Amino acid sequence: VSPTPPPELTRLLDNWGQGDAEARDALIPLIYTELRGIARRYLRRERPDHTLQSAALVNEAYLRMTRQQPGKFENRAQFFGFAAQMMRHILVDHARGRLAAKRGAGAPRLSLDPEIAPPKKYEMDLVVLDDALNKLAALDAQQSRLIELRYFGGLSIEETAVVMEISPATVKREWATARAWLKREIDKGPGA
Amino acid sequence: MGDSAGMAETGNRQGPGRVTPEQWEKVKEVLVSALELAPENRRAYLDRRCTDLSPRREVESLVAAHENGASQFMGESSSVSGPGSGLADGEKLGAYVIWGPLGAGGMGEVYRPRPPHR
Repeated sequence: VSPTPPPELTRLLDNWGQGDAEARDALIPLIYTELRGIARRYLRRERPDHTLQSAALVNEAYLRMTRQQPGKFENRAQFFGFAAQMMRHILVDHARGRLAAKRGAGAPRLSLDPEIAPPKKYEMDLVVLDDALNKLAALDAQQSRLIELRYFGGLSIEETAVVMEISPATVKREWATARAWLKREIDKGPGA
Repeated sequence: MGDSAGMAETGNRQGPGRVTPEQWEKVKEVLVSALELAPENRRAYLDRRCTDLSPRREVESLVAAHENGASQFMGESSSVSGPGSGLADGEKLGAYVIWGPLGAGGMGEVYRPRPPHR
């Protein structure tokens, strides 16, 4: 068994942070697969209170990957920034797929306990949030990205500032105004 | 399109949420300042700051969204930051209600969420 050279995650993440599209393409198979595997395991359990913690899933991926890469993985913020983007896609795709299945072939047999809120509510929320984030991106791409990092990646104000290369004070301001915008957009309901 | 002309423009569809990226930059600036004030002082500030109607209506609508729960929306209030901010049981986090901590690690704390409707 010839040892394959460890993927240079640190270097790739740095390059991606600087806008390198090739680094992005190289990172996707390395990180996306891991994230999707974790997301699937959680989603299969169908515990509504567990399905949705995007940030927790990203955190788990980080812990797993750092175990595989001891001492090779220093830019945590970049990892979380990248993973937030991937996890948003994974969870939103899943939510959209489930909604489509419900509209089509009738309700799947998933709710074990009617006392537990059906996952449908969460799926609506995620799909609605995703749509709103896409609209926000058209208006202000930086704010949309910031929400993605904070909400799907679980990054703190300071970590978000590192990934986006802006000051924590700017993150706070953008976070406050973006949330007001999103709240209004989501309250408006679909079709607005 | 000049700046002030853009702000006062009425040709596009009116109503909150219909701003251009350039207008949005200005709206954000006013909105941030307004949100830093106590709620009862916001109106007077907008009276001074917004001389034309269109950005004012946009800012007012967003101030209303903020006062209507956006400061708790999707997480913490903007004054909370960094690790150890702490979420209490029963606290709302976006669509979820916190159900106690799961753990804490490198990038922050992980909480166990509970869906809102039960």
